[in-house]
This record gives sequence, C-alpha cells and structure tokens, in this order.
Amino acid sequence: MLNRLLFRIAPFVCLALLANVVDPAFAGPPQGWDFMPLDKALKVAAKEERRVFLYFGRHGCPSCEKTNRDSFSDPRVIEHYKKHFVLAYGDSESGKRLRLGTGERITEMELGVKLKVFGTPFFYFMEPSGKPIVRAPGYQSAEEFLLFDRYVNGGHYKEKTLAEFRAAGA
Amino acid sequence: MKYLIAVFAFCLPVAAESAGWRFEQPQELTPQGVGGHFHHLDGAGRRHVAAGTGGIAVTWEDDHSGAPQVYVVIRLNESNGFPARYQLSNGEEAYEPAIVSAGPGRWLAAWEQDENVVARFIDAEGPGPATVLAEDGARQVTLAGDDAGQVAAVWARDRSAGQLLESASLRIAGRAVELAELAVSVAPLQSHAYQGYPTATWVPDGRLVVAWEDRRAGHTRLFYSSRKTGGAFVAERQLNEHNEPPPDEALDVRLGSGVMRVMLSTDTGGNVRAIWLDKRDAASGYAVWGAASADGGRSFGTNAIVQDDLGSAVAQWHAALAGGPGGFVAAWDDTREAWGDESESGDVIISAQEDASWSADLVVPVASGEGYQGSPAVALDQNGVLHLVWISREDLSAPTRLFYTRAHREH
Repeated sequence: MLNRLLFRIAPFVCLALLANVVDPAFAGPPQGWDFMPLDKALKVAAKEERRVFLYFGRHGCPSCEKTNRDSFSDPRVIEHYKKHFVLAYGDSESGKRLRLGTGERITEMELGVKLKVFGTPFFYFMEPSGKPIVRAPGYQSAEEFLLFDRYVNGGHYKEKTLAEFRAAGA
Repeated sequence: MKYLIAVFAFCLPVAAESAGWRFEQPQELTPQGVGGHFHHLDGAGRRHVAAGTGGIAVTWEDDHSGAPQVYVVIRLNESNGFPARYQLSNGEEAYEPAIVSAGPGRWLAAWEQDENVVARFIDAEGPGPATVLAEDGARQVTLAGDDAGQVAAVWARDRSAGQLLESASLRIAGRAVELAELAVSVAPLQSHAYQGYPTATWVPDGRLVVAWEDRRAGHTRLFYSSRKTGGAFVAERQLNEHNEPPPDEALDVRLGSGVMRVMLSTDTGGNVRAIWLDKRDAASGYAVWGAASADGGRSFGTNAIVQDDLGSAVAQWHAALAGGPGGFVAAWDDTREAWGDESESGDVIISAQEDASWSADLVVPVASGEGYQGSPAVALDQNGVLHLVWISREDLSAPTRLFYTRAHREH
C-alpha cells in the first residue's frame, strides 16, 4: 500500500520547488554526504535523469546513528551511492517545509505521515520521475545497501522482485 | 488477521456508545475551489478552534489564493453557521495559526508570516490591524487565553546558537493587539541548542504554564516551566520519562526514542494535562502519551498512554487536547479502521478524561469512513460542548476540505 501511495504522490513531488529550511536539526544524515530535501532532490533527479535515494530519519534516532556509523562510513557505499543516486533526506519530527508538485506545502513531519514512516530509519529508492522502486525500513548493513544498489542501479527491479533478486544470488 | 478484524468490527461500536457523545452534522467551513486546494490545521499547540462565551472561531491555513495564507471564521452564539470568513495574514506566505478566546465575542489569533510572528484581534466586526509580535526568524507561535480575556503568546525564534522560545503577555488596545511587556525567554539558550513547538495554558493562580520540544541532549525531550506575568520562568523540568535507547543499541551517543508536538490544557477545576506523540514503542510508530498535574503545572505525574488497546497496532498522528467543564478531551487520527482499505485512510478518534483515566476511544462517526479524515483540533466551551475541526480528503495527496462539528455529552 505504501508503494501505491508513493506512486500517487511521486509525480507531484518531482515538480517541486526548493525547500525553505527553518528547523536547525542536529542529528541527521551522515557527515560528508550531500543529502538535500526531497523536493529539491527530485528536481535535480529529473534534470539529470538520476535515481533518488531518500533517507527518512529522526533527530536522535539510535538506529539511524548506527546506520550512519556502520554503513554510510563504508567506502564502497559512499562511492556507489554518491555516484548512482541523488541523495535526499527527511526528518520525521522536523518542521522544515517543502512543496509538493501539487502545490501543497507541508512539513517534513507531514511528509512522514504521507509516506507512513512509522519508524526510522526508512529508505526509499525512486526513479528520476519520483516513481517508487523499492523501500527498506529499519537498519541496513553496508552489504544490504550494496545489494540495493546492484538491484536498483542495475535495473533488475524491472524484471525481478527484490526477493527473486536475492534468491538468484544477487 | 480475519479474527482480529472481526474483533474490531464487534468492539468499535461498543466503544463508540460507551464514549457517550452525540455529534451534530458537520459543516464545511470553506467552499471547494475549482481544481482543489490544500487546507492545513498545523501549528504549535494545535489551537485552531476557540470556544468562548460569545461564540466559536476557527483558524487555518490554505492556498486557495495561490499562496499559503491564514484565515478565520467566526460564529456568534445567535448564528446558525459561520457567516463571516476573513483572511488574517497579509504577507507573501503564512502558516501555523493559533486562536484563543479573549472575552465574550472576542478572539485573538497569531501565526507565522514571512519569518515573523503576527497577531490580530477579531470580533463580530472582523479583524483589527495586524501587529508583528516577533521578527527575524520567528515561528511556531502558540497562544493561551482564559475566561477573563488574559492572553499570552509563546513563539520560537532563531538565535546564533540555535532556536529559543520567547513569551509575552498580550493586551488589546481598541482593536489592536499589543505586547503588554517585553518578551522573555522561556528557558536559557546557553545549553539549549533547539527549543520548539511550544504549548501554553493558564492556571487559576495566574501563572502561564509552557511545555516544548528540546533537543539539547542530542535527541528530542519535552520540558515544562511556568511563570507569573511580569516574572521569570522557573527552572524547567522534563515532562516525558522515556528517552534512553534500547539496551541492544547502547551506542556511545545521546539518543532517544522520539517525542514531539506536546499539548497542554487546563480544565475548569484547575487541573492541567499534557499529551504528546511518543514513539517509545517503536514497533507501532508514534502513540499518544500524556501526564497529569494536580498542582497547577508545577509538577506532572507518571506518563500514561492515552489511546486504548485498539489503537496499539497503528501509529497515531496530530494529537490535540482541550480542557473544560468535566475534564479533558484528546483527539488524534489513526488508521485502526483502515485495514484492507487501499486508500490508506485515517479517521478522527477522541478519548475523554473525567477522572484518573482516559475513556475507551471513540471513532468520531461524522469524521470517519472513506478517505482521510484527520488533523483534528478541539475545544470545550463553558457548557462542556466539544467543538471539533478536521481535514477531509480522498487520500493523503488529494485536495482537502475543512469541516466543523460540535458534540454534546450523553449522560
């Protein structure tokens, strides 16, 4: 159902405007990565025809910090994700505003409501158009992120489910 | 799963009956625009509906003019509907309004507008002139009003070291809102990197009790404090109890389970309640938790979950709180009745507190069903009548509609 919801909002989001940053949150995406608000990321993705990797976290989230330390510090993950994806980040408690392509201007917290982010971290992979590809809730190891990269960037999602991809030896 | 659905189907009507509310037919507060637009009931303290002895006022933000702006409708006691609708904001963009009663037939509203906090007085003649309460990155304003017309505002404001809260009492001079004093800090910023989303309520001895989100520890905690007008806020105390990471994730960092959007209210007996969204049970997302104070907000008791077990499997959002005669009413939205519904809908839920515990949850009959019905705000008037506003949309991306109803307790 979440994929259906993402599918509905994605075309609107991809036409979005720049975010108005108003909430000086502290914890968040890993240091040294170039994450941006989702609306800006989708605009860049559409222009550059690159897929989007959305990281939905929360200020002070233990599993987010564990992911940052364990997985986003891995040189292979850094190299592949920076090369293959436009990176987006949202905070499920933040009052930062972003504008959807429908024209609706909402906070990142409200985006979390729309995306049913019941826990963090929550990761989404999207087409350059914003169409959802696959999502990954909860902590992910570096190996898992590399598997997602192979599945998405290799275009395997067009022919196989993630489970089929795993079963085939990924 | 089928068994659980059957249990839901059997139990919910019982809960609704036991909750003892009789709802009137809802009224739509704004005409539906061509092509649709988006209403939002969003803001610190969720003070979007105010019930005074002279009538009802509702404030919200929508973009039907082409940009987000803030509006108000008022209904005087002798009116059947809401005949008067006014645009309050007059800048490029405006968000997150709050409104409180400021005496019979009088209201005061405040909102964020172009990085300022702006306020206006409203009565049957319409709004008075706009007054800027705070500039330079001010936002997240909330208001507290009492029966005597006493009004205070609390807002967040950028500072070089982060974001802090300021508060000031307000007065109405003619039809204009004025700061009755210089704004004071709610809590020192020195070790407070971020204070935000305040909520405030008056207590009978004339103190203003304030609660807020605080990120100084590297994760969000809730704090509260109070002061008498003209005085300083007392040292803040923590409101939420649970903020340590689970043992298996004992990282060498300062982290917590997640809390946000605290609400405060006072009943006619002077009791104070706080509720907020709390993710201490991470498996089901945010739930509504609360705490009670019997000493006018000087201290709060043990945290207690607000919603009943039927809501434990889904996340709760947009918690709101009202106090009045006979106790408190909490409202929120969740998807407990959406299993198998591909529209991912939510419904408005309420729970009433009259003694020590919260009632069984009631899925509001006129704010549930197909599509999304959520983002509620509530107020109780002097007769204990519940006033409820909420957003309705076909799904979470569709254009919105804004509704109001009132409900009487059935004894």
